[in-house]
Amino acid sequence: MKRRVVWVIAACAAAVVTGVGASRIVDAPAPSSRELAQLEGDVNRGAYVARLSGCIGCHTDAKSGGAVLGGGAAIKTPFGTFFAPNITPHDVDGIGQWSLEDFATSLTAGVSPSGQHYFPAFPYPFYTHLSDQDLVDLWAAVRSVPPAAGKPPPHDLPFPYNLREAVGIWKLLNFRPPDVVGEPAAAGPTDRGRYIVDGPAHCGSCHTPRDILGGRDLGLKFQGGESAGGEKAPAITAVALSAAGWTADDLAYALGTGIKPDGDVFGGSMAEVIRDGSQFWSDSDRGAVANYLLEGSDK
Amino acid sequence: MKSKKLRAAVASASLFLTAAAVAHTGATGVVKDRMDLMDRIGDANEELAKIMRGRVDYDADRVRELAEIIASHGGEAMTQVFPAGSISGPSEAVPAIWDEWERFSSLAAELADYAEALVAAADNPRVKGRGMPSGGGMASGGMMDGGMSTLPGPVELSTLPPDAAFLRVAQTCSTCHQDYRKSGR
Repeated sequence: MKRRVVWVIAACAAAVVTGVGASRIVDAPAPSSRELAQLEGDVNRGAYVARLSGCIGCHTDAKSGGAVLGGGAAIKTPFGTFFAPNITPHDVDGIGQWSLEDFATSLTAGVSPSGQHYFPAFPYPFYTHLSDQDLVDLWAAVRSVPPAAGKPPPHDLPFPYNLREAVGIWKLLNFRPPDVVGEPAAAGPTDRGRYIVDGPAHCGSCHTPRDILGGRDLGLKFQGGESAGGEKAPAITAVALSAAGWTADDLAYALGTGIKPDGDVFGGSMAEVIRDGSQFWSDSDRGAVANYLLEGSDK
Repeated sequence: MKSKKLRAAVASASLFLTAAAVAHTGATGVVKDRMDLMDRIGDANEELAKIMRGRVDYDADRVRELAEIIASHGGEAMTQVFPAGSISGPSEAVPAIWDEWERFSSLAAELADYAEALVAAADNPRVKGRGMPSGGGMASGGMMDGGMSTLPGPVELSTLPPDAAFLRVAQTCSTCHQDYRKSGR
């Protein structure tokens, strides 16, 4: 309830601000400068980046047998119902008209080719950490998917959450493109895990609690939150995981199979994360993520 | 402040771990029956996971026994403990089960089929890793296949390493629990 009230105030403020023409205030932060034109995209590597990033899970309506990346099933959130769009290269219903630059700007700045803010249900605050090569490879992979006609319904958001202008304010409060992207040049043992967890895999999207405006409370990183659909997502700090009896090896195995150490399996959103994502990761990436979560994520 | 956060984290983590055990106490009737059924599948799954991970020596006879337990609890044994609308007390079942009964029953049948494939595959040669024919590599993450649709069915699985059939058993559990088990809303 409180969340709703504050959001209404913020949205009204945004509406007023844009109304008087001071739209610069709600401009998106400038996309980090990316020099992508010289890079060659690799379709197979990009498909792997897509598995790291969870693209397929949200942008495919698997349960209804929808085309890969042809648009997702309804995601019901406290702010309304979102549908991840068709991102196949279809000229009308997908993103067939996009350039690499459009694609990179959408992922790293949360801005569409027509200059609109994307709602943060699209986890660009994480994708903004993607390395240049991963972006270019991902673009090559997305271009390689067969174009699919048709698209999901538009987002169904009640006022005031339907105001894209308000997202500009949200971004000012919650969106920080990094100064340095990708893995550090001298990658240490936890750096690959850190890159995957805090970048493409966007673990904190569900496992970090959010404040009343839907921004992540980074002081409580990984202390447990909610999935977009409103399920509880448990704490995944090193302390919490260790207290619950997880070892890095258990966690790596669970990310590959969905099987927990007690013989239960993941249900809920995590089942989708594993089925469409982490079961396809390399053993070394699953191990890197597990090691980072159990050893390095809150240091 | 820090220790408060720490305590909260430990508390929520241990809740996470014991939630399932606690949830099953106080169940009666058919809700209890199916929780017991799920527990038996979970116990078999736990031991199979230890075997597949090499925590205990591989024993084909034991794998067959455990897979038979799972197979005998799938299919109709599973669906008959889900009479329409049986959501009471600590039940974690969701109404979608009965709205989507056809899909629910076919997943229950698949569980038995894949567990039978594991019975048949128990003597097959092992492979390292998770045992999927093309699992895990960079190139195998291709998006063209759209997920599970091109994965081997029960007949092919019975000719592959037992690890592959076991993985499909677990994935079937997970797919069903994704849509039909309450997940802390």
